[in-house]
Amino acid sequence: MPINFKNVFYTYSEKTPFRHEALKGVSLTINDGSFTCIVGHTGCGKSTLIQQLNGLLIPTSGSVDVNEYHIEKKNKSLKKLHDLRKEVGVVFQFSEYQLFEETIEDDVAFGPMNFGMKKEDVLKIAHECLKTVGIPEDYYKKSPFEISGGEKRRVAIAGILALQPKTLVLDEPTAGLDPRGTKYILDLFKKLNEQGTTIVFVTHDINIVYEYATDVIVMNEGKVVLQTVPEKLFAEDVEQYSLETPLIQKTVNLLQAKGMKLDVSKIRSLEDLVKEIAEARK
Amino acid sequence: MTNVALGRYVPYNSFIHRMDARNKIFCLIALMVAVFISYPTYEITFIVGGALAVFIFALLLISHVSVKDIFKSLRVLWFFIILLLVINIFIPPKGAENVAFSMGSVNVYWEAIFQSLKIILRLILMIELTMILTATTKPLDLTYGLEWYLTPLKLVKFPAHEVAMTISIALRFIPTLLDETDRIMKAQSSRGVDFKHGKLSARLKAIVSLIIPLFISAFQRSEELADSMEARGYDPKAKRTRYHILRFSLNDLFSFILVGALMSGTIILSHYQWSLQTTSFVPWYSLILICIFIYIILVGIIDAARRKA
Repeated sequence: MPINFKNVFYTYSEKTPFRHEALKGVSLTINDGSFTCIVGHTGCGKSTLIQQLNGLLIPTSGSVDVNEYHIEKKNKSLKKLHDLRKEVGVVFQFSEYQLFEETIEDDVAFGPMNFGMKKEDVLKIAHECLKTVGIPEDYYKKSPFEISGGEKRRVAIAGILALQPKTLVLDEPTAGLDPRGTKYILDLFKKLNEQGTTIVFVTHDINIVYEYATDVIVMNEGKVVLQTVPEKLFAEDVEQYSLETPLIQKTVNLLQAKGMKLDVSKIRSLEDLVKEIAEARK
Repeated sequence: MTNVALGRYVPYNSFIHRMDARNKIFCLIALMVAVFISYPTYEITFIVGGALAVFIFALLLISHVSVKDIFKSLRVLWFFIILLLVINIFIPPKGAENVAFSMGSVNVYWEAIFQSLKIILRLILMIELTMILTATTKPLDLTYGLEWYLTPLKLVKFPAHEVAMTISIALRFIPTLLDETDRIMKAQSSRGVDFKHGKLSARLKAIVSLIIPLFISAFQRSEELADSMEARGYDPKAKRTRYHILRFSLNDLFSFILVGALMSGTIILSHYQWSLQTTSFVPWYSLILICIFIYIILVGIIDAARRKA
């Protein structure tokens, strides 16, 4: 079932001088099996939006439907939200700060164990997840505090993957990673997406949207400005939404201006571009 | 996370918000004295206490502290109030003779009930007063105020600036750490941790999953802060000017006199009552208060002289 937002408002610290309206009437749909990117400026409500997805925040007004769960202010039973969190895994920004166990494998196993799974089964899942994120086997018994920042991030992501969620929500998981680490993690999400997991990806980086997204949601000041597919978004002038033009598109534009004939619809990644250029030069 | 908002600075623009932090500290101490001073009879205690309660409640309204918050702060006191009542009932205060009622073989004296009511009243008023101070004064102003009171102690090598700096850094990081707590709680909730329900062992584990990351990030932050302060050449011994200067306005003078008069009034009242029974006895605390008064005036004069120079 798709995720549905119906006219969602969210206000922080209501009735105090710290009152802050983060979401102002958001309606959107996130389709099953999609790789949906949410883009927008800092403070436009992206992070608030994703916290509605697993019931960490309950809308001040309006409603959110995730699978069979109906989240609304009137209807809050915490027991159900607990189960919802197994279906929607959220990886927060700077997720490396959530590690606390003595060993890496225990930390990854922590999530599933909270949902009542047995330790032996969980360890097996934990090892699998650590393998998917590319943590070598001799790390499993190490303390999560003695590895590098990028590795910590991967362990934290494995901790959410271990819940085996149907929907994976990621809040800038690549911030602060080196280019190789970024590519590795993005390809991992792409693979998960192909295996059927719905991915909701919050980012600033328009290049990621260009390369990976199947759906795009553009936000500005607590409102959804645009919900569309990347092909349509990048056919227009993206700068009107105060977004940057992706590097690949810039290159294509420059090459086309010089008279090279390229099929834009086929180009999504750097490899595609190289192939197209080779084709055009024949 | 709602209960931690207690005693937090709330930016309104009331009369009390605009008061000088130094003056507010003085007023707090003076009003505390007025609240805690004792009288020989319960009648006077409750009349004066009631009057103070009305006065302090008016202050609360002026300073926009929400009444809901006060009730929240009192909720913590319930256990204490009951304990106090029990102790006073089983160990009645000296000279108790008016029996209110009997419970089996235990006599409950009026004095015991009054005594506990008196303590409860004082406690509530004390909490309300401190809440007014913290809700209306920016933490930084508060520390500047404290530093001002401590400056003369520099003569005896007391590290006034360092102490003030330490306090202001600690205060500065309270909201940051609260945000951090909120963030980690959300991250762990997403991993299925339930902070509010569940068995004791599960909840202990939940707290561990919160505290360890919190401590680690706090240590990291403090290290980064120390480095960045050093990188910008911070030297606690250096002489410095201040961007933010506390100003003593006419309103401050007015409230200073009002609260001072209120305090003196309660002291005189209590002293007068004493002297009816004993022969001219000056309570020891009034001596201390006179010393504090002289001290404040002296510090004020020194400060004014230094600013002129």
